[in-house]
Amino acid sequence: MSRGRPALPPGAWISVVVLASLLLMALLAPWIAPHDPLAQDLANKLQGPSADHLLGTDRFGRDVLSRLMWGGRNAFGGVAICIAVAVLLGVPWGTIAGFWPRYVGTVLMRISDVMIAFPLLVLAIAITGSLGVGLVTSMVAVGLVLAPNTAQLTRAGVLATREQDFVASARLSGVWTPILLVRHVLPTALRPVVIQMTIYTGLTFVIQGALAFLGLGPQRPTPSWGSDLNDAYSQILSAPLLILPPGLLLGVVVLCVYRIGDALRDRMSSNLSPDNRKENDVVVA
Amino acid sequence: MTVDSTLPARRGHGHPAPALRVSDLVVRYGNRRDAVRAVDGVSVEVARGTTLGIIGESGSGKSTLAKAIAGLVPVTSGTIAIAGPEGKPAPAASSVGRDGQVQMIFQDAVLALNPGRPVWKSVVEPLVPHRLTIPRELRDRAVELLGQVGLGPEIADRRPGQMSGGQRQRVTIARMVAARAPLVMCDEPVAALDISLQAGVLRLLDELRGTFDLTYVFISHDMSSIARIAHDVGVMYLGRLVEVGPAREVLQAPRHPYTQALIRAVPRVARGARDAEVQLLEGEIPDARRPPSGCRFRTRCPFAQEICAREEPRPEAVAEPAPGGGSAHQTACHFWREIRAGTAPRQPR
Repeated sequence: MSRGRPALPPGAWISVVVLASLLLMALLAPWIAPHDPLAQDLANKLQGPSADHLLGTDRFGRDVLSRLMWGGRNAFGGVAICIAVAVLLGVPWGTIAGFWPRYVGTVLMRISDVMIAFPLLVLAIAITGSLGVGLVTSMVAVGLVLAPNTAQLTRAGVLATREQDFVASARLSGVWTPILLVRHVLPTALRPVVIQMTIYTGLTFVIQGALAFLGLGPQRPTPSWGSDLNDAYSQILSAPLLILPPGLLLGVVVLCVYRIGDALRDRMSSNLSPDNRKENDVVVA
Repeated sequence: MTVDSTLPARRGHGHPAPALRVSDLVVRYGNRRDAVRAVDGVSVEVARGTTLGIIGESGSGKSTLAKAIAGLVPVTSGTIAIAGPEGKPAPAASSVGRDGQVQMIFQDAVLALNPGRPVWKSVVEPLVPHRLTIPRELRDRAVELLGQVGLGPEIADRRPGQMSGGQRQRVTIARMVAARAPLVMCDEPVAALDISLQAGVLRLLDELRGTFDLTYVFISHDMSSIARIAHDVGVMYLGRLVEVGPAREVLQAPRHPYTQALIRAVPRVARGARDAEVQLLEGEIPDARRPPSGCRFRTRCPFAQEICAREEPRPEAVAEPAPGGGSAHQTACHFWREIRAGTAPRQPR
């Protein structure tokens, strides 16, 4: 009698496990990293993998593996900041615009239209420039840039949900509007937003790498996947393999995030589709 | 068009004031150019403790009328007066739900219940509209309410997706009872149910009306549901009320050619009935953005004359109110007398 939820496909499970272990590795970096990520050893620079340095050393002789572990803290933390900003700003923005669409909503949506008209990365760079360069500021900037998109998607969901009969019923019962929004409107309206956030999570890893690559993220010598990628890129002729660890890692993380997002989307749309609803309509004796 | 009738006390209720008085109500959708006047000048009264049935085809504006009375769609012009408890005038009718005076039962109960919540919470929600969480103690009250609509206690913890259509509609009825609103809009409440379940839900609604002295506006396109539950019947066509009166008179002696056509279109399951007796109404309901001039039904009316395109028919009383009370039977047709007498010329088709 319980609503059977389709199990996550194996690919999504693998992605969850990979991401969880990378996150754990980043969190435990101070204890498990084999070397100090900042310690230079110029005598052993640009070494290939060895027992002491499992992924080799960079151009200052720093341990690549340790830097990736420590860099993961910045990567995951930065993405969390970015998504938090996008959600905390975009969801209330879109909710208000969707529930009061006539005047307030029109104004709010024109503001988001203007922001969306700028290319994402350019706007993020501009905001970072005005806030000051750094991990937190660059990620807040990306969050600010993603917020109008989040708001528009939220608004679309709220607009559709507020017309539903169960929302009308609650309104007729005099349910207080903030409670109405939290209890009845948002759980349904935010389903597409949840999926969108997984896409943004993947996107943010890439943007974060790009901003760090451009020197707008964490400043040297702080370990970061993007700036390590930049370092490796500068040595591409002398040590071409050095670009692989941070590049592959970034790619794997993004793929895993997208795979989980896909699985979430399939699962939610199967819950929403009329076919499935009919199935659930079966009388329970 | 107005249907002015002072409704005397009916069935010994002794409440002279109507529970609902709608005057010249207009509901317009869309912007000026392409605006649809979904409800266009409807006036009607419903006596307390009675059921007004509204029939009409899809697009006649009957659902919009119910939603406007409930405050779910904005009113363009006209007034809606709802009597408060003990016949006192209700607060200014401007808010959604009219400050708890109006409840609504929807056609598709699966859409009318929050899919993610156990139904007991939906049932008692009207009791605690300002609480962020629904207190667990109210579960007993919910079970009691579910019992009143013929559902067992095991239903309480289910989600809407785990119940049958009939059970779900009973849950929304239990919520309506919990809300204690004197006026209830029933928007095709049994249309989505199996025929075998319809009678039970209709009977339940009628019993609750008697128990709690409720007043219903019952929207339907199904004549048999209307015949079973309504005391008065109004017939809508393209946003207008073309005929209104006591149910028996309207259904058995319809005066407006549209009502007559609607009733003739009902297939009868009876001995000797032949398909040939079922006459379908020809044509489609016209575009509500550009309604026909004069009488709106003239484009499909077999009796239409030149005057029908020119002049909008005013509602006329076709019978005196019955001595025991009840609303006068009125219709808006230029030729209702001739049609009754059988002397109205039919348009060749």
